[in-house]
Amino acid sequence: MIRIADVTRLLSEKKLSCRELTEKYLAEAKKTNDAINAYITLTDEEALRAATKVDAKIARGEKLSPIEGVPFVLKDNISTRGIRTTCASRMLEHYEPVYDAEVWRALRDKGAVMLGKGNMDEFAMGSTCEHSYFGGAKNPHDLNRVAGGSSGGSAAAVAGGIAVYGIGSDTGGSIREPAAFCGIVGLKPTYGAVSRRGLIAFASSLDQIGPLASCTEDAALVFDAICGKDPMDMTSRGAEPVSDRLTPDVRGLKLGIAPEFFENLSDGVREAVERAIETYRALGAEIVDVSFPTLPYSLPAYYILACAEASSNLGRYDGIRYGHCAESFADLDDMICKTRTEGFGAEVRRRILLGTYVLSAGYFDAYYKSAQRLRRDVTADFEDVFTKCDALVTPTAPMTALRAKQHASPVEAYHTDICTVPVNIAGVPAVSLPCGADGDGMPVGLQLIGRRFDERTILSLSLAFERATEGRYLVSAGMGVTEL
Amino acid sequence: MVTYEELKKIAALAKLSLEGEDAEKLLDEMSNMVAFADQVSRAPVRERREGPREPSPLRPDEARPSLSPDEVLQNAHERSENFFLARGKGLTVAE
Repeated sequence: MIRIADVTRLLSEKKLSCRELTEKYLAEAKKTNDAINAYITLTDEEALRAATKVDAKIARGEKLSPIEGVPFVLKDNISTRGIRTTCASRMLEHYEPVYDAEVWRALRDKGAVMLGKGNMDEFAMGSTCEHSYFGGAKNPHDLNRVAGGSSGGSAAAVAGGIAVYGIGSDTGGSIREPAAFCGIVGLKPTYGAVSRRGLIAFASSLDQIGPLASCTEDAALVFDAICGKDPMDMTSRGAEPVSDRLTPDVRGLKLGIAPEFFENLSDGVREAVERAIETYRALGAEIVDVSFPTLPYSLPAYYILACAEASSNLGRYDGIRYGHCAESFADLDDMICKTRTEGFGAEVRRRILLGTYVLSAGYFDAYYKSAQRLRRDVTADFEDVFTKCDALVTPTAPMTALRAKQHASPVEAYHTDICTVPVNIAGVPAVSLPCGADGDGMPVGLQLIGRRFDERTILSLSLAFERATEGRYLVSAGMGVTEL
Repeated sequence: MVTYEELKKIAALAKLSLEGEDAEKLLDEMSNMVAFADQVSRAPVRERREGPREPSPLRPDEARPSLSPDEVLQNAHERSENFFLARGKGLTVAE
């Protein structure tokens, strides 16, 4: 796969102009998107405008910053002024934001070239990317399988060679799980490391924006470009850049293994993850046994919290201020009900209903309050774990990419998220990296979870694994741009 | 187990219509989701270890440039001067 450093070198050495590079990616994106449906909207004009600016800078002999001129995909729940931002929903099919998300502003100001807006599960609710109003994104490694969700379009575009890196959002695993399914690296930063201003809200206490990339160093470079304190997001704290501080030397680091994360895994996932743990042992890391007793309760607690917040956040879609509006109605209440029922897809409606249920009088204490109590217990479990080790090693998902429409019911689908949701509940950072393949050749994701604001340790561990295995698990799907 | 009456009440609170929905299927799905959520009631209750709460950061409350009314109203379905216009039976624009 093409890496950021490859692009920067070619541009700086004037072997390729940024406009040529961008045109090549846009042309490939148009062809490949028919197969994998990674993009909802291609933004040719914006991309070529940015590329022209980068070429002018190169012509002036100025040095490029690390992501300058590098084509990328932005998840379609991140606001782009004047460029439609659909959230993969009929509700926002024609919506054009009037302000930019802070992440997009930061990337654009650093000379990033946005190729388009990435497909996703509607309002980021899903683990397969099948809940998109525009049809699901397919897995570039096997078109009969899902790309994962909800940032499936961004993951598929990177793995499918039609973006060098991607930006996604992760509320319960929505960066890490598609990264695992598509065989790339995905980082869910610490809650507050990256501004959420302009990210269309799903569950505000859990949402976090982060990078999807073809290797660890790229994920670190993109993280550095987007992290920072934003006075317009009161939950943002900012974070220290990491790309200059990564080290592949993991000798003496303690890696925790909690048996709760190793239940009900597919054989292929178990074998690959256990081999990865042995690789770390061989590199000089110390493997320690830890426990994570709240894991079985994390999943229902997560769905209560996430759906409760979603029912509140999505209350703003009333057909009056923006978004879809029903054509015919009897009165105002009927207009709002019809607008919302027509505008939201089935999964979003189900989650709003569950969220409204758990917040309603008579059920609030039993569900929402219990879930909030569990949130503190999950956080305490991480605090205990990190007194014994520097990072927790788990699978990213219990299985590899599912076949399309494989889930029998919504609740069955939720179980895909068992290993990823505790990370969001506690607000800690985690990275998913490819660590092998199952018997069908589908990528397996390894998850490394770290202490709050310690992206450096987990990305160093990820880099160490990549170097030790000579990048053999960073496999191109053989489509899109495969060489420059 | 969620009853149809409960589902109707929740849908009304959520401003969603059940018209055209496969009621039996939705009831079944909602019952399964609520049963799944109910697992939290079986979690052991731990003794609290309350630590100091992180204070919310604040910023100075100063007036700053903002979006213009035209920008704010750009995506509105209907507008009347600088107001959003909500239309429905019994709701008319004051002349």
